[in-house]
Amino acid sequence: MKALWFFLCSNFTAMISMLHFLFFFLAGSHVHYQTQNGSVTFESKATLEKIIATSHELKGILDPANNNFRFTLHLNSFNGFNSGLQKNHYAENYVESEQYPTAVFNGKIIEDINYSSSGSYDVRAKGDFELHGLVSNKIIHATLVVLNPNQLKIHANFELNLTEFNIKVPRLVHKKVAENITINVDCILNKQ
Amino acid sequence: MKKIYLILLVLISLPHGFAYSFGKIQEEKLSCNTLSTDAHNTIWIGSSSGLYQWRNQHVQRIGLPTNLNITAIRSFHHYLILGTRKGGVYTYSLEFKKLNFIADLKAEISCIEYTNNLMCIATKGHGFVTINPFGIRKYSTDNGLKDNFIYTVSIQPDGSIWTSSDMGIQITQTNHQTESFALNRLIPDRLITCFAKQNHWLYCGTQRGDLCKLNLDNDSITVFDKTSWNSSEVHDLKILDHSIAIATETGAYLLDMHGQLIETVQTGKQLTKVEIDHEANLWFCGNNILVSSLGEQLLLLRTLGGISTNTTHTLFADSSNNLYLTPDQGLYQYNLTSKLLRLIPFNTSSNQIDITSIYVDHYGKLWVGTSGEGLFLIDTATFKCRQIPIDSSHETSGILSITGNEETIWVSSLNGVWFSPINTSDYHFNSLEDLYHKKKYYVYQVKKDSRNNLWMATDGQGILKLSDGLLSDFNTQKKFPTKVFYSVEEVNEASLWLNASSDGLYCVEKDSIFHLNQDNGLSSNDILCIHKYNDDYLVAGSANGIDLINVHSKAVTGYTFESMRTTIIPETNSITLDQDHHIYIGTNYGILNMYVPSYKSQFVPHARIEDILVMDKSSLRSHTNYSYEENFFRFFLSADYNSEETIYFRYKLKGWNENWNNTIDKTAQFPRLNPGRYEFILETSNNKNFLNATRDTYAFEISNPFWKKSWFVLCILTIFGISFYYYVRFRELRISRVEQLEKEKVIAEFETLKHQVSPHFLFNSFNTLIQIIDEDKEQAIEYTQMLSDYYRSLISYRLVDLVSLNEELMLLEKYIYLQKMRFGDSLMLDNRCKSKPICDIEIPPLTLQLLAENAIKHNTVSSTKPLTIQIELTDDSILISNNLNEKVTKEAGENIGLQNIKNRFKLFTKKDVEIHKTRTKFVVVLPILKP
Repeated sequence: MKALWFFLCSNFTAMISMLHFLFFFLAGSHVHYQTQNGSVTFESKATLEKIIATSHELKGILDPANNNFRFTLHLNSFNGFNSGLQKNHYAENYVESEQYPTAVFNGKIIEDINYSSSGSYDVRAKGDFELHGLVSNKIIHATLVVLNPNQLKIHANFELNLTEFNIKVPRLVHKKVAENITINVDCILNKQ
Repeated sequence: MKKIYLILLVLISLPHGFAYSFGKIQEEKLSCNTLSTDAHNTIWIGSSSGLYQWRNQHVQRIGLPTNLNITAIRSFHHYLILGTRKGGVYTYSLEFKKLNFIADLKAEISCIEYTNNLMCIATKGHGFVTINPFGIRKYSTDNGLKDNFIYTVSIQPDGSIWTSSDMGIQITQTNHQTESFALNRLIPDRLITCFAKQNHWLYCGTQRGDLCKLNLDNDSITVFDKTSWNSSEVHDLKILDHSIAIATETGAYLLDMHGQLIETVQTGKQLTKVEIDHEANLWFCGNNILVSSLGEQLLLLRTLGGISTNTTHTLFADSSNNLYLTPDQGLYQYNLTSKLLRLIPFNTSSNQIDITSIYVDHYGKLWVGTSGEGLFLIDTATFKCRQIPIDSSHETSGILSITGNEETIWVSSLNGVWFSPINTSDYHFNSLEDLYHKKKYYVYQVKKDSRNNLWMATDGQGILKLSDGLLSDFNTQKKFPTKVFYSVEEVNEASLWLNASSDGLYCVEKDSIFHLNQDNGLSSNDILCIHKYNDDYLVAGSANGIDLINVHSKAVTGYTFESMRTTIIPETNSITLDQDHHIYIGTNYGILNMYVPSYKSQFVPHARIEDILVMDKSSLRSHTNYSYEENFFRFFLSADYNSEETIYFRYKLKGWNENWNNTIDKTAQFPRLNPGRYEFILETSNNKNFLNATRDTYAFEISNPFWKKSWFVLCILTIFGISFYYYVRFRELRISRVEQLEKEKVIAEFETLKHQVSPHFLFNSFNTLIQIIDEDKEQAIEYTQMLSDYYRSLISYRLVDLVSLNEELMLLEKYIYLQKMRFGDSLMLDNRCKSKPICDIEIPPLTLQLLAENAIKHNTVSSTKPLTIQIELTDDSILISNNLNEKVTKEAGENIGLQNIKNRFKLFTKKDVEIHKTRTKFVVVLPILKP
């Protein structure tokens, strides 16, 4: 009985988030930019070890009418650790992807962008960054290139502080995992 | 809590001139989010682990839940309004130390403002909320706001609310309509993180780190050059009198009104908030850092216009805001407005020239006195320099000070004072001492006052005064203990200050002299320079610090150099005041710039009884009555003062001890106070003599225990008195009743005896006896026995108050028997109570017999008219009746018998003896007495 209840609850939240996503679509104009396979690389440069992992499953949506965006990433989709064990460690001990499976960045672009003609913009994406169950308001500097009216390219490079998201690195490995993780994002969004 | 004091020793060389910071880091393991000062000058710190306060020179935690991540604080009367990261709004009562939840705004509270009954709470994500006496109103994108992410809010005097957001500044008018600020387009970044409006100027800081100034009158913008304080984000700014304090992502800075860096308070740390306390100290906070700074009150300018200001001997500011200074080499003119520095060429024969005094006279000419080279005059327009001869002697070329007025210029030297008319092209100096036939001394300073008196501070001669052509020895007049004075300063017409060598300061007022020294607040007895600040304040500089002296109260506010690594020694002749009320003091280490900001409201520590513990429980100030059991008092002493300064505390408890107790630990405790009235008085001062001490008092009363209270004593006395009275009365009543009873009994006995022993009864009895002796001998014996029995009973009754009805009836029967011998069947006794239980009925003795006697006495007893005496018993009475055949001649004494019965019954019962007399019957109703 309890399990059923829990199941219903968890499904309910999933449903709500789905609805939220849908609502987000419909609230803006029908025209929006979207990606399903943006790439995210994280890089931890500690004194003893350098860890790089990449995911190509960044999902994102940008509404040109009000500059609102939402990017989500399944944390389990990262590949390329130094070993398989390391990946398990990453998933189980650090980001706890079973409990908090996704990272979400949801907000708006501060600068005005002319989507109708090609051009490059240095923009600030400001919004709530959710990772490891914690939400933090962040401003991320990014380069947005309007390749043509139907295609955008976004590139961002920023640092994440592990303590800010309550990701605790054990003392024994603190020389192997850096406190600040560099994140590199590249994606192309297509007009839908 | 462990506290680390670090002395800020950051020196960055910058091209414009920079200041050494008189600040200190109060670094705490505390992630500070925000700061606020309250009416008591307490600094409140909102952190991610709750609320803290800066008190008694360290951080104290306030007992609130640690999960309160406080992001905004605003003091509001006796409350603090707290806003948290999660959007909760709380009030914290400073008086009752209680936290109350007010509202949940669902997004981080960024700013709380309060002006004129309007409170405005801004959130990061949900717009803002206003609260006024008419209600609560929410503002968000739903009702006209351009953006919901609010950084700063400001309530303008006209009632409009200015908010800065991701979309620039938005203005909400009093009619609740929001519009975008028209000049947003001019600001380089639309993410305006902080702003401040002052008159027609609007200062904005942005997320990109820009700082700009908008002129709201002509819609123009000045974006400040940020190279000197390169910042990535300006978090907070405060506009001061002559500078701007900013807290940025990379440090805390003090800038001038043009955005030029004056002072670096802190670099390399993120600072999020800047706050000003009542002493005009600046406070900056950030993650794990809390920094305080004197701000624009005291700056050490290590360079000025690009040159080092080390060992500035002489300084003079003229009326056109030019500052003349002599650092190591050369003479410079620095314009304080245009910040332009010019070297004044000084063509003399000697390379090394030591300038000791500078004076700009009434006509704008610059006089320069040197040590050994004499006096020079420089035209300020052309900078042409010429030497003015005074006297041929070598001593005269050692100039110590210069002063003048429209007509005369006075020069003091190692060879006394020389003067010359000023409004000529040809100066001719004469010695003042020669004119008055006095000996020449070293004259450290010569000064003209507002009443045209000339004052001379000499080495060896004390103070000399030239007034109305009369040179007088002021020292002898006022009997100063020292004869060496460095300088004289008139602060206002009523107060003249003298700087004595190694003996503090003397203030000469109309009739009195006040000696100010180290004991009553001065930083040192070795004051090196003094200067008037305004009509109320005097500035004195020593190697220990700069003192600001209130000339009326003589209260001293000190700015110490303790936080500096290097010893700073002010130069005696280099103190000057510019047009903007800045004092400049030349020192070995640079030029000190002192200023009393308009927002400085507190100068001396204010005493405050911070907390009162009664029996180890915190008590409120408003609570002043305690029971006799609450007799252990502890007071926590504090001073509302944030500057680092030695504060002395003393206290006394009036009603317990009249002597002052000096203390350094900030508590005072009194165990076992007796009931009574007390007043706790706390005084704090920055000097040991408690001159100008401020005090805080708390009067309270410990009441007597209730058994010592007057009402209780009175009550007890009254009860005792009343009961005593009643006891006495009762006793008297009883005694009188007993006496009465005795008396009545005696009367009754007497009556009975009188009757029985009356000759009638005896004669009758004897006659009866004689008659029956012959007739019936045995009956006669019986009769005689009965008679004697009767008399015996009669006698034995004399001693008792009550007898049983049985006995009484037996006696009555004996009596009737005796009478029956005489009257025969004419007398009959009808005893109807034989059948009834009568054992427990009592009756005063001889009552029945007395009634029977009366019946026989007053009625005819004959065979034709027999007398029947009838006795009946009802529930509550005994009825004795007889038929009425009254004798014609009435016998006396009827009433005595009946009255006697009535009286005797009254002693035993409240019921009355009733007597009913009809035509045929006489009835007496006796109430039944039960034992």
